[in-house]
Amino acid sequence: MVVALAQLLGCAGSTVFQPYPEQASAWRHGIAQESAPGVRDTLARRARGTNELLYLQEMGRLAQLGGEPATSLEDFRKAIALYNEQDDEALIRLTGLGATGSALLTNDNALPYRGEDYERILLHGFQALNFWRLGRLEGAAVEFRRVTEEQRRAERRREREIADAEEKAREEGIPVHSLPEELGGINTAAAPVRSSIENAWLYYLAGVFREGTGDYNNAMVDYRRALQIRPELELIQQDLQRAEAKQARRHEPDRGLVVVSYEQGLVPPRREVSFPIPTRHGYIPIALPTYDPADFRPGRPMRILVDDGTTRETTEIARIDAMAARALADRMPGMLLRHTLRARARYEAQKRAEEWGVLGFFAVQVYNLASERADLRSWLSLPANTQVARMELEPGERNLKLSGPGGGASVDVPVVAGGVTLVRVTDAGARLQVSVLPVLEERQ
Amino acid sequence: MARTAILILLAATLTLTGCTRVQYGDPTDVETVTVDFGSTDLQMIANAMVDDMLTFPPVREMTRERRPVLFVDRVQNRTSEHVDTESITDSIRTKLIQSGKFRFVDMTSVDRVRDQLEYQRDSGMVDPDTAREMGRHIGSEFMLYGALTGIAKRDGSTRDNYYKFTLNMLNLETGIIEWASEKEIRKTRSRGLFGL
Repeated sequence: MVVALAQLLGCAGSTVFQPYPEQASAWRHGIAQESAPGVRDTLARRARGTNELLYLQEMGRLAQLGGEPATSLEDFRKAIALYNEQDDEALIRLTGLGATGSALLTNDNALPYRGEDYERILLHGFQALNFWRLGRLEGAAVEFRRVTEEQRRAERRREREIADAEEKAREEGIPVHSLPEELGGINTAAAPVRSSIENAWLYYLAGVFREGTGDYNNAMVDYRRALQIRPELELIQQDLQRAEAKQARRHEPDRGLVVVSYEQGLVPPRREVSFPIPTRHGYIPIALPTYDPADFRPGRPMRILVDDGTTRETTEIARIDAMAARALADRMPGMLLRHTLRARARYEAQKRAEEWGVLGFFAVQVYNLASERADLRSWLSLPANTQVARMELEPGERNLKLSGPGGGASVDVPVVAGGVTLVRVTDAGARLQVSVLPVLEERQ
Repeated sequence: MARTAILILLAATLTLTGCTRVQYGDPTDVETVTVDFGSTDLQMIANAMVDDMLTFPPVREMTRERRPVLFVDRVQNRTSEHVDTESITDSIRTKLIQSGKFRFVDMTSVDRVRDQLEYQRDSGMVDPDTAREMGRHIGSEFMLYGALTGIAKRDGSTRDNYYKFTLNMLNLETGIIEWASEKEIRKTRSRGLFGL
């Protein structure tokens, strides 16, 4: 009990008792308008201890949205280092036991934030874009390679983890297969994607990057992977054919390729749902994170007016919001199991407290109610969905007029014959932010 | 009694955490902190390349009477780590120069050399008798270039990193690769069951 109270006090200002989405709502609101000053300092102060990884991810992304790739690069570098440390960690950690113990008594928010696979993959993708933006192409190539590697590895691990959780649940006799009614929404939210890991947008960008640097062989592999995830997208099919033609030297382009990548909206926050679960000792309330399907909607396309009079529209290529929901849905068996075990531990504590008299019983009740909080942490500055458009234009300085649901912008882009220009557009809610990345001209 | 014990414990903790020590180490010591590309790998590669090159019969033949001029193009990093490949080629170049068999021109300093020569010629500050002339650089005969590739595998408890460094020496006039060498490195690490 004393330990638990110490945990309570020690965690003031952390996410143990104030849900993360609540803390984040202020700056999330801010970036939709204008990147608010001071946000970075607030996040930097919190970027240590259990939530260091989470805040580093947010800081890096906000710096990127604010047009500071060098700062973002540093933040992401630290975040990537933390992920790498996790990989090398011993399987059972002495320092981790305290956190696990306190999570059993309080809630999952006391556990260090370890990130999600889809976040880690996006982190490498964003870092690749930072390197590219800064003209450090070898660095970008490294990060795109990591994107591919991490996706392959995460896919393997995910299958194993789900199987393990189900196995353990069977042993403990806890039903996890049929989700309680209260959690049903998560499956609706996750419905648009099959996997939380496979990210067609990043494969596509990797393909564009490799095509631009003359690495056609790998570009074709990337386009093919993107096509496997979204087989209905004709756009990728054409890209694949073009890359094949270039590889076979059948295609000597006199035009330049311009690719517009559009990141729209912000991922919705997790929401808490609490409901009683039946145990041997009667009904015990538990709280779990879920997503509200009402927060999810498909992307709305952006129109692009080119100065030669033609127009294009972006095509949605990845639903990051649905991937986040899918990731949570995948973890649900494990989470249900842990919460049920915790509910039992609480019951035991309650029993013991009854022996301490009325005051002790009351204290434990209050503690149980206050501490049963769902873990709502997730990377919240991610885009809700991503879209792409691709066009082949005459060389020279061309003008694109963009108009999306969040506003419009006009941008001049350099086009080089046989080269690749990436125009990155982000729209966190109220305005378009456009950056033109250095043109790639097949040299690598 | 209990208070004394606490004090001793406190003092011990302070001593443990309070002192930071700086030490010099042997730079050629084997470094195995992680399976990522490290200093030992760099040294292993540089040594292997130089030894291989200097013992290759046609190269020995070529350098018996003269010291051919080389330049280092670049070594592509095709791994999934941010490796400074220039540092590897720097080491190789230094060792080759030290062997006394080769001479090098440095492409990375061309701009600064040009600035200096222009200053000597045009600024009016330099005694024309001592000003170095433009256009007297020696053209290199060979180009060194290569790639560092890597395959990284990881599952629950093991990490396996494989690196392959390839270096080629190309005759600029004939286009013939006169010498090539490869060095492979494999590093594996198993995660411990217990740790801090």
